[in-house]
Amino acid sequence: MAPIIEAENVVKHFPVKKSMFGKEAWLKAVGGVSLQVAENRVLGIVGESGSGKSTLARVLLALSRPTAGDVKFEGRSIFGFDRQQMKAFRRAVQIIFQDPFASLNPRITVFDTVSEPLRIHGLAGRGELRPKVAGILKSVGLGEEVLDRYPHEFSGGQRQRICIARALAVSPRLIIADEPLSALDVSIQAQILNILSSLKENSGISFIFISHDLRVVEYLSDEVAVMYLGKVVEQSGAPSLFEEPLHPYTAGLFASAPSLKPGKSRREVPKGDVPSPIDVPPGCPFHPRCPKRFSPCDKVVPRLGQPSGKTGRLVACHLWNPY
Amino acid sequence: MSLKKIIWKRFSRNTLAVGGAVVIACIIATALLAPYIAPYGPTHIDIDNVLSSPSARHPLGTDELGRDVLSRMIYGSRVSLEVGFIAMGIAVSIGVIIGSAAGFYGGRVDSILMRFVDVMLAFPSFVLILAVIAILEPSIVTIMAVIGVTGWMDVARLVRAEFLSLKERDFVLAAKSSGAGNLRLIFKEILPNALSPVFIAATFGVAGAILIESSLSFLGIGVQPPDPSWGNILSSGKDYIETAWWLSVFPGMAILVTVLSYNLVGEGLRDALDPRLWQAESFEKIEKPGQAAAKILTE
Repeated sequence: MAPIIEAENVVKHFPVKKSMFGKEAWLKAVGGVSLQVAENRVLGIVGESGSGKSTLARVLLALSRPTAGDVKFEGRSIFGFDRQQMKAFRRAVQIIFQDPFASLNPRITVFDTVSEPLRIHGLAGRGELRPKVAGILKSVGLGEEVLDRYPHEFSGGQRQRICIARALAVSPRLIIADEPLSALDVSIQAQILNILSSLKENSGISFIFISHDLRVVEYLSDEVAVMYLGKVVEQSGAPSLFEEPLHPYTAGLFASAPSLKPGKSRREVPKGDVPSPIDVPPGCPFHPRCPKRFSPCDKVVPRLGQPSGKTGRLVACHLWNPY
Repeated sequence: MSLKKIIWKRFSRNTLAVGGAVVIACIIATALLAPYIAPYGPTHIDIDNVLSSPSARHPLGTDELGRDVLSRMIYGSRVSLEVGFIAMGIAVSIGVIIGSAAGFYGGRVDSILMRFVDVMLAFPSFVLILAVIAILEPSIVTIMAVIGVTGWMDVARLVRAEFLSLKERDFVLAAKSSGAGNLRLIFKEILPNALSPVFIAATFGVAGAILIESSLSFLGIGVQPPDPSWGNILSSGKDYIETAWWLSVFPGMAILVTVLSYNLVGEGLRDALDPRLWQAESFEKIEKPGQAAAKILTE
């Protein structure tokens, strides 16, 4: 199946000045990521904060240009698009942000917010705009009475529904959801999760679902990419990844997720903090925290490859791939 | 609760700002109704009462030509308001255009425009105004234009700063990824959210423009006699300050009160327009736990 969107070795570095006279340093937010999302699939991206998930999302949306690498939409580079192609891309790919308080324009009504994409793409005449918007809002569980209200009148969960409605308005093919739940209360998270999972089942829209919450990713995703310091360290179909994590970092993430099963043997939790993406450790970026490191780990960068006997799985670890 | 109601509610709680707004409203009414409320015409000369002190006949006294000071001040308020609003309108328009362009496009556009702002700021603007007026004919139109053209830099900087932070905000990025073009992003998404500081700056700017006009008229290069303006009444009063205090005190007070009122209103708007404080307002209508309990008990 042809992928809708495809990241090819995307690199995104931000310049940071260390001191006035010091040489320029680079914050290596994304260090060469390749991913693809096919029709009607959900790709989960997991990782701690600072792993480059959101930066990657912005590059995928053509909101920022990558330092190197390319993003292809239906086989063509999105950074070479002309006006018309860009417009088509903007219609096909939508985003839901993490903070529903920051992602709605406080000065315009819900109706204006949700109808804006429809007006930009000329998808509805003046007369049909209102009923159409009301219909979209209904699909995310909001009634017609919200149309003329302003964002500040809503709670976080309601706002996130409005954001989902805005993303759905143009019937996109792919929605990138950047931590859509993490700013919400747990009970509200469940409601939003239900909306997203019913969209996944019924709409045929593909998703890139970015989260640090493993349970949520497991629940929604068909495929999962685990990111660490701007690199994908493991990628595989969701069931096999959750059954048997191969990379020590993935295993560590699982171990640190709270479990309800008592007496389960504790796996080792990654110690310490994520190193600064300005000074990425040499060799495997995870080696300073890895419980299983051995001789080559601090010298040789492991490549993302398929370990023998594990079809459909990719892992960047010397334990699995001989260097 | 609608946004307007919240802003109004927050503004109306500020007594000083409301006082300032009332004073400004009175001055505007005075300016509009000048021919109906002024006891004499602005150039009417009462030859028998030259430099007479405040009396029933001339409540604020008369000047060295026997003209009624109250009447001249009432007509003079028109000049202050006209200059204040139109000069600020010019300054805000230029400032918003330059600031938006610099903040939105960034990069080279930003550098060039902001260096231009620096150059403009480096000019002692009052001297620039003096020079321009010395070359051009001093008239109210020239004054307004010159004050406007030399007063937009603060607005430009404010707007640029707002644009820089707003253009990276999620709601702008969301609109961008919905396919919104640059003009839509600037005028629909960013500018409406950047306007409250501009509005506040404009209020202070009106006060500043009134002061500059008064100063120019005081120096004799503003509004030319016999047309009255607070500044030139004050100016002619300075020669008689020891014998006819009313000639300087009343127009001086008028300038002070007007400028103070605009500044108070500006402060009030600054608080009322802060969107971070709206959230709290809209939840105030939720009943406090105690009230809810009391309601249940009484039913």
